[in-house]
Amino acid sequence: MNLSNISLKSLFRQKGKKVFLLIAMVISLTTVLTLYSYVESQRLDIENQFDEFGANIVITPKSDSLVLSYGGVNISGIVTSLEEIEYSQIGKIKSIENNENIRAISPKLIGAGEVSFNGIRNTALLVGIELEEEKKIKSWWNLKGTFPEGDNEVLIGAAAAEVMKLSIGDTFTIKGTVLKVTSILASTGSQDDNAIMAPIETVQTILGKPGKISLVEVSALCVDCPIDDLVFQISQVMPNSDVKAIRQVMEQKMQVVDQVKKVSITIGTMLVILCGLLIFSTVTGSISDRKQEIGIFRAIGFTKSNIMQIILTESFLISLASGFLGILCTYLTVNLILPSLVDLSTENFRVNIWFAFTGAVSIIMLGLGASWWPAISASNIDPVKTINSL
Amino acid sequence: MYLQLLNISKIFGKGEAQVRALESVGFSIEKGDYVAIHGPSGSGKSTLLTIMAGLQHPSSGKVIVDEISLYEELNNDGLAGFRSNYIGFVFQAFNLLPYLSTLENVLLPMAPVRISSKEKREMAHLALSRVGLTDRAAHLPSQLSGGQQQRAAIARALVNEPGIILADEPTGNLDTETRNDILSLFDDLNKAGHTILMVTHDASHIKAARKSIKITDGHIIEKEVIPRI
Ligand SMILES: Nc1ncnc2c1ncn2[C@@H]1O[C@H](COP(=O)(O)OP(=O)(O)OP(=O)(O)O)[C@@H](O)[C@H]1O
Ligand SMILES: [Mg+2]
Repeated sequence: MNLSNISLKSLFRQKGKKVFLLIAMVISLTTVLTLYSYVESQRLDIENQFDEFGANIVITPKSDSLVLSYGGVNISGIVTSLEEIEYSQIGKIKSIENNENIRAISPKLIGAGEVSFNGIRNTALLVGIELEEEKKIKSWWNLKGTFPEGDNEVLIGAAAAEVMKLSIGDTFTIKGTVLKVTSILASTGSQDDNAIMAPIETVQTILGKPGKISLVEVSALCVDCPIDDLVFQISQVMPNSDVKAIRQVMEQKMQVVDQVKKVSITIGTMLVILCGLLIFSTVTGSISDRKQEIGIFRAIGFTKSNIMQIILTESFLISLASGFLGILCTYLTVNLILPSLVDLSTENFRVNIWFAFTGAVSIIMLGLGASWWPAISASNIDPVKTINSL
Repeated sequence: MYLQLLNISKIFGKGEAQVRALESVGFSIEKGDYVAIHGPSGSGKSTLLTIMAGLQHPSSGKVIVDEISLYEELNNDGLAGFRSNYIGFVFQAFNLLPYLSTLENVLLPMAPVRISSKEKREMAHLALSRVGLTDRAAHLPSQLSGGQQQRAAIARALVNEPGIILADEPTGNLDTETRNDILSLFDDLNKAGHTILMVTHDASHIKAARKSIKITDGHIIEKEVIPRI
């Protein structure tokens, strides 16, 4: 028999009250963890979608006549551009202060050209791209064939391929240059569908605009990165260009998540307070029931800290159990119960093990914290009073 | 001289409600003594015992045990340690924990002590055998008779090998027959070398007591050394 044995023995007395407390703690922890998992899944969903938005900064030549037209987020609307940016300018973007937030810089030269294939002539949208950078920005592209590698290899949009009856492996001429289709882009719903995309140097040659580009799409790394700062810094290094952030959709979505997050934090805080009060009142009640017993402990030589240890060990055991059960219930709720009840339409709804662990540790701290004062008052019980009252 | 009380006074409350529970009480106890304290109800017997047990400070005076002045030299933890090491307390109302078995109740005083549980068990079984309860080790207090419960409580007081056993009317809750039973157990324990100080309403109950002290209204009015026959 040692002090922990006493805690264990007393743990199984007044089972009703303790089971009630345990359930309350488990529900609180489960709720907080589930809410967090939900908010986190929403954030991840948006972050993933964010990748699909591709660029979030677009740099165009400064020109009043230029109109950016993008439905939603896709920015492929620049068909004609009166002015161009010097290709050599884009190196400056990498020199900005927040350059570690930049994931890809994809310059484009846009023009039109007459395509001839099997005797059919069509005027098509010709887009010069930097192959590797474009790949990074358009990570959601669904391609058939192989991504262009050589100077004369091109990628064409689904609509363009259909109109011109081009398939992978076909070659066609545009302004006297022979190009080979190596890849067809599945329909994206954007203007990429109508484009012929070739390496930017090739397009520069075809259009007779060496060293020129029509726009630059910049993709920044994360959702929370300082877009305004990036825009400002880029416009500082490229004073003759218009630098714009595309983010409305993202921002709105993020605002919704932020709202949900705030509501969750409020609910979580209230639950924590409620739980703390419940622990406090349960422990206080149990101590006042055990006054006489504690008096005996003190009379037979237990120190004040021995008494505190007995009380806190019991709280620790209940909190530990509620931590374990809370994690278990969260897993069940997130993976089985909620998905079967409601269509959450979220892809990343899962329990973050580290957060679950943190939650369990927190509820143990809460259990000990809320028992601290009752434990101190228990240790101050006067043995003489309890003995005399017998 | 093992335990010595010097000029102990204890005053409860203030003003009108003031109670002088003990006034200038002094006596000493040798190792192996068997002392009976008796006197009318409210005379201060229990108060005296709690002061001797390191449970409450006297208003004035000293308690000296093994040359340590309890309330001058020991802090709260020190007093707890003193109770644990020097004192075995037997209460009138047994005060066993109802949810622990007899053996566990006897083990209780050793819970904060850092010795192996095997050793603790050996000591607890030894204490139980001294009070003749070996065959009741696994029973809950509710499954024991009053006399057996008090025996278990005495085993609990013995288990730490205390220097002195303080018993506050240990037979108060028992019928005559069981009372004699418990008293002869105390007699036996004293013969086996234990120092015992027992509060009782009637000292004549304690046949084997070597000293008897009578208290009335907080004063010692009679100290008697009973010659052993
Ligand atoms: N905590 C206290 N506060 C105030 N008065 C107290 C307190 N404890 C004891 N007393 C008073 O001190 C006096 C002595 O009490 P004590 O319990 O020591 O008597 P006792 O001799 O043990 O009596 P009994 O034989 O009835 O057990 C009584 O008058 C009692 O009312
Ligand atoms: Mg009394």
